[in-house]
Amino acid sequence: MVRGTAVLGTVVRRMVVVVGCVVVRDDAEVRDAAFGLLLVPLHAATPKSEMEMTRRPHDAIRAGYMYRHALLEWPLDTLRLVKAFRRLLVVLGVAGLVGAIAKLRGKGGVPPTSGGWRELEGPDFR
Amino acid sequence: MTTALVVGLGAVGTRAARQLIDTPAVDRLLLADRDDTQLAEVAEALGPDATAIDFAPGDPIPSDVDVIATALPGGVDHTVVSAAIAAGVPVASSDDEHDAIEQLRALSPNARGADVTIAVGCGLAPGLADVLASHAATMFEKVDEIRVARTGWGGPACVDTVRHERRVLVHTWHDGSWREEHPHGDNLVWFPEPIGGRDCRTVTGSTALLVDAFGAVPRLSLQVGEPPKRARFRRRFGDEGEWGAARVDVWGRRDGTLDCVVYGVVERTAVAAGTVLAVTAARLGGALEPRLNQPGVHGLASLVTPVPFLAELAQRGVRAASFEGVAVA
Repeated sequence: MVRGTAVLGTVVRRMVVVVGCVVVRDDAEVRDAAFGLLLVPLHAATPKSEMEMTRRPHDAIRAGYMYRHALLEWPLDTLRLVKAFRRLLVVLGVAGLVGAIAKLRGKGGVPPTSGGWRELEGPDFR
Repeated sequence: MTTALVVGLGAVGTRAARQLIDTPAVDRLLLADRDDTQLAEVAEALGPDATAIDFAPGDPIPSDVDVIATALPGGVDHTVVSAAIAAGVPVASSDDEHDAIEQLRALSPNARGADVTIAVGCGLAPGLADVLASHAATMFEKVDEIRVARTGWGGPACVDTVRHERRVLVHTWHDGSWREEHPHGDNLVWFPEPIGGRDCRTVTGSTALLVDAFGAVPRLSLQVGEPPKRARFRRRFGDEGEWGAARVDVWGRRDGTLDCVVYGVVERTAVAAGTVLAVTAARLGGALEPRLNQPGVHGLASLVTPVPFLAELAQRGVRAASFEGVAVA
């Protein structure tokens, strides 16, 4: 239960950082502000061994404490994540634009889906 | 005047006999069936111009017959057609089973040599649907795809054929060549009301007849719906016959744009098939104009001119409809 809550908390914090950086503004000030929120509940953590220094934040949380050094790697990871997310947004946007142009300028190809049946009569047989 | 022989007086054959006897230029109708009671009842019901004869597949064709209409279970009419070719008599067959159609198509060189015209697949689909596809294809500069779908059945033999076709491997016409596939599920096809949406599955069936007529079209397919299992019992208790429907989607290019024409027809399956069989037989025998004379074995899309054929069917109560609508995204 404690472990699950800790992992969930980590995920939520990462999301806060990513969304904060992307939606508001991707500069150092915003990143620090968002990142500061993450440090608040963790500042009392103390490293116990060299091996534990290499652990990821959720490993440290699982072990019962948090090592500050692990958190300092977050901005770099987050920056990569933000760049990838931005690229994804650009790709989706371009794809949507191309699709919209193709649909608007395309010639036919959409079957009739709304209408009714008309019996063939004299003029159709000429 | 014309003498016609109807072989097989099931659901389809009986309706075909009625349509033939109502054709003014047919002055004599010979009837043959393995069930003597059924034969006598139908002959009596059709009046003095109808005569029951003792004829079975494999027997030589009676000498005074001008045309034959067969409505027999799949594969049985092969011997009748062979005898008719030997006698120089044209035949209209309502067979719709793939193997049976292939057997009949194999007789094409014999028919051409004997200068005899054989029409196969004279029913709702194949048959009327093929003619509708031919009619729709004339509206396009280039046809890309033809899809034919049918639901409904004429009688127990037709039900068996449909079930068999839905089970076996499928041969479809893709990009100008045959492709073998396993049956891959049902698609919802919308037929004219009151039939509405029905699940249909792609089958081989009479696709070869479409290929004969539209060999240049890249994609041709035939779908059939599944008849409910209680059909036989319902018919035994006096149902007048099951409603059936056919739908034809033709995709192509006209005026530089991709477009689609959708035709459909709703009728009691046996009535529609019987009427198509009778009109084709009457045309082959010269009882209706224009007379069909194109030696060989052909499907209706290759054999008939759509407009007069559809007009004749409409006069007899089998009316096609066109779907007119707009594309909704």
